[in-house]
Amino acid sequence: MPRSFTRLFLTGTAVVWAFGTAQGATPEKVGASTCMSCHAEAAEQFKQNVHAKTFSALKNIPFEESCETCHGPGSLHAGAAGDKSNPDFATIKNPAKAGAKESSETCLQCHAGGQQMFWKGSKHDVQNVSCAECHSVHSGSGKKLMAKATESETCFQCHSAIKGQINRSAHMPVAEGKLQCSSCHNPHGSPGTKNLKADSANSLCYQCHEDKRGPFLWEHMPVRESCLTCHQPHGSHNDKMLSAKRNLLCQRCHNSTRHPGTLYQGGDAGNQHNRIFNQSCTNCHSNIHGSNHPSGKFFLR
Amino acid sequence: MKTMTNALWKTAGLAVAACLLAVPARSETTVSQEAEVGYQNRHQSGNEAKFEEYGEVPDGPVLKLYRMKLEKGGTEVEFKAKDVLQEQQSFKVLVNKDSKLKVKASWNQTPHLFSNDAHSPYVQSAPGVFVIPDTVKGTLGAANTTTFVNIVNTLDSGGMPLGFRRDEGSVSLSLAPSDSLKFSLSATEALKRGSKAKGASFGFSHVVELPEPIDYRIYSSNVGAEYNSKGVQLGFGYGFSSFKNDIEEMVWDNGKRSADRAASNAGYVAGDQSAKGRMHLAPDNVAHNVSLNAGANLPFGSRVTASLSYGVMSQNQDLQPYTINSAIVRGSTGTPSDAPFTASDPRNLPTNKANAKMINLVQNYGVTSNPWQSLTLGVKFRSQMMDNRTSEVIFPGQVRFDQVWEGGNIENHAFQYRKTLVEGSAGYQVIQPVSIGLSYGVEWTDRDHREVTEQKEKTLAATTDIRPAEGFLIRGKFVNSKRQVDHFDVEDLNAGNELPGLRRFDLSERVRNQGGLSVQMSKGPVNLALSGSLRHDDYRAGPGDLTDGVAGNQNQMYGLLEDRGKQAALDLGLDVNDRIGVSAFYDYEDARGLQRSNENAAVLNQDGATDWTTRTIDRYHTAGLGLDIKKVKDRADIHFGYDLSQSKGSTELVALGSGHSGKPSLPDTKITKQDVTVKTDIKITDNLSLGLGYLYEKYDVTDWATENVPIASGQFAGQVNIYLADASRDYNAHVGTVMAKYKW
Repeated sequence: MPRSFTRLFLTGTAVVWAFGTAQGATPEKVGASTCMSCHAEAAEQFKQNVHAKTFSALKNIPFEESCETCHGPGSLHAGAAGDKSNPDFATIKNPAKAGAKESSETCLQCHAGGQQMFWKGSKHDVQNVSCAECHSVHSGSGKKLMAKATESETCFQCHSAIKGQINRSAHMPVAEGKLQCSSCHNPHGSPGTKNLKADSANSLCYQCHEDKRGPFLWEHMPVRESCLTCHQPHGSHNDKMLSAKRNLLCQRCHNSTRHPGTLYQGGDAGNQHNRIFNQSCTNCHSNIHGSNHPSGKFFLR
Repeated sequence: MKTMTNALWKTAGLAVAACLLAVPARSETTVSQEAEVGYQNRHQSGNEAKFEEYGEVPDGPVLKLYRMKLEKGGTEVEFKAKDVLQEQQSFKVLVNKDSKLKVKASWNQTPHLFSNDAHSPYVQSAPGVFVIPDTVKGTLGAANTTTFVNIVNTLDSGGMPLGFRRDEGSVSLSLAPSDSLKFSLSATEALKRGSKAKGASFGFSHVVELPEPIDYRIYSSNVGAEYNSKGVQLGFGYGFSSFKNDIEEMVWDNGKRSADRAASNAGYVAGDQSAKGRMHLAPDNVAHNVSLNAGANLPFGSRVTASLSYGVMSQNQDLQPYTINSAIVRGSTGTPSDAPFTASDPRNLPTNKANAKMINLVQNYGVTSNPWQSLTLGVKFRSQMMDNRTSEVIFPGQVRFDQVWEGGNIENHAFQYRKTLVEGSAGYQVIQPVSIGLSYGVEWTDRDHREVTEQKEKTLAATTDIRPAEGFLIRGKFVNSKRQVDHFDVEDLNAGNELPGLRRFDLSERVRNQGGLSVQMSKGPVNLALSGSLRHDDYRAGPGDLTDGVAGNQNQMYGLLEDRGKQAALDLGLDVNDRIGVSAFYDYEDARGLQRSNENAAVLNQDGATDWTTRTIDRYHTAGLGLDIKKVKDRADIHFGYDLSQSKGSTELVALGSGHSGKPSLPDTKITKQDVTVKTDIKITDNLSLGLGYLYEKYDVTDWATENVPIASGQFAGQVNIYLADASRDYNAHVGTVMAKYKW
């Protein structure tokens, strides 16, 4: 068995090598000056963006070598002189038109660490979203070279339901420019779920809502387990971005005798019954995220 | 802590100075600047705060943007100021030396305004202390509803704002001494100040709402190191956060009483026993977190990643006594509800500190592989452990609403949980335009001190991508998950006086089916995206006796029974020609929940006659239309836009026991926001352009709970309530803007 495996491996290697070398001439680097003779506009755009600066400063890549760092050696492509029927024309690598994996591999040559450490196997990677679908290396806007004018516009290309939610009456200040999608999510992947930039939804929420962090003497357990049990983080028409209107939200879990099991109806709304009017249940259970008071078991104090 | 922040500010200052000094002397300095200044005229009907919820819309001169960039050699210094002198202003200084050393200092204000016109009969005499005049103390208790409302209204001292602002100053430094090594350091100090509405009730029939004072100070700092070589990445991070609330408690008068009194067990209904109320506000706390991340490329296009995060959150604030009511003393009423001691004396607490501590340990490991271009395989393991080490304390009773002692041991159980997820996935490109993906995962959850202690959820997901042509994508997705519980602890529920048939939706057995289809086309001048999705969550009773063995109890589940959602969206962008572009967006979402409950005065009686089932229906419409005309007479760009966001909420009583016949559903709610915008950008010279803008916003709200909230209410029999009257209101706003943008 080991011998036959060795034979198979050697034969396969020889076939791959022979096939590879039989493909004709290997392209060589020609330099940016050659590229600019046809792609002057793209090169000018490139010169203005962050890559042009970091290539030389961080990677010691002179401008003359910059095009072929991402597009690969261009001698055959240049030799085709714009003739698309010439097979050599297609020997240049265009990450914007390549398959998602190939496109991303080009970027990962430099961007494998930091924010992109968990790119491989991430939601977007698995769904064949390539770097080029969100970023435009030559003409992108801002320091992140986004393909659309803003980050949220870029995300909303696919996440249209979220675009609707963000515009609801109770929302995060995304439209106002105080938060962005990337304030909470890392679109390049994260070790946890939903591309969150924290270990869990709660850990993320506590980064701005430190007063809810506790821990408390009396914990409201579903709250501690997930803020999303009650809140819709992208927006809601209910007060405080709640996923349903109080009192009915609370009554999904609290059916005990006395008032939590009460059927509140139109008449109660009309006469401003204090268990459903204004803050409803939290008129009284105001420390609903947790209480530190000895008499706070029911979050009244 | 302040010393540390000061030290970091000084470090940042020194680093900025060092960067500037390091600029090569012979290099040429380039300075570019940009400013956007103008005048804004605003007219708004009423005084509704919603229009400025997250940012001021000034009526007068505005400095919208100033940016200066200085470049010399490889060094860049950038200063940016936005919305200067407005509530949401922000400033940033960034120094970047050869992309190897970056120093950033920033100041950012984020307001959150709830109301411009809140009212209260209370006056805040000191932070967190709310008083009503001596002349009134006690009189409200004897007043009938009409008199109560009249007295409270006369005490209203006028409108006040309700809202807070988070001011955040931050410094950060990152250093990349080599291509493969990077260090980072940051410190942030945030102040959150203002007020928000808080319930501070004395009892069922005496709700009080007060403007809770907010005076938070938050320090946080992070240190990180990263190693990135060809194929191997390592990251280390440490984060620290400290939350300090400068106002630890809220104390407020009870208009119904001028002297404390203790009562029998039902004393909290009227809320007229204590002269004051007292509440603990958000306690000071600290959090530490250490994280380690690693990734390495392996042969056959494979990669392994790992992350480990260890966090500790703790809080050890002094506990307040059981109550501020000094009349709750041993044997004060001669009833079984007598307190065993003076409940307002903190020495009678079993412990005087919260001693609360939680440890979070999260581990993620993953391997993904592309053995060949068309195949992707992946395995993930995730473990999240929340270990609650808060001291469990047995209290001999409690004082509800500061009104009455309720005897009987109560214990703060240290709720904790562990979640473990294992997931495998595969993606395969069947033929060039078609790829499919499959994943299957199982998540186990076990908890302490909740009704469900062991739970398992299996999730199967299938996706397909079809790219029939360049710029054309059809994506389908289907997810099926089943959540099963091994045990439902009804006994634990009984201790909380809940119905035995109740299954809380975050714990109950659930079958989820979710599907979605989207089509995206980007071809020449047309960008079109269509999407739709359906979701159905079916909650099930699972194991356990729904009747708890009680004869006559209905053998059925209570709580949320079903949750459905559907969504459809269209997003179109069309470049008619080089100068004219149009866009259209429409999103519709419909969410429906079905829930069952029971109203019966007898404990734990699921009698059927007092059952009720209701369906909540939320419908949302979001739409946008845009028209962009560029280069009108070669110098003007014009944009017309219309945006609509509308939501409607309704409830339907779908099944009522005989005890509820003829009851009407809760009224519908509706919120509509519409914006019309016109923007013109006229190029005067290469450097100067003039912007003319107009915004019309119309906001309409119909909500029986938050609209028309009065200062005092006594419409419901026996209730007399004091609110902040921070009601949601309709408004119209017109904003005209003239801006000059100059670059030099």
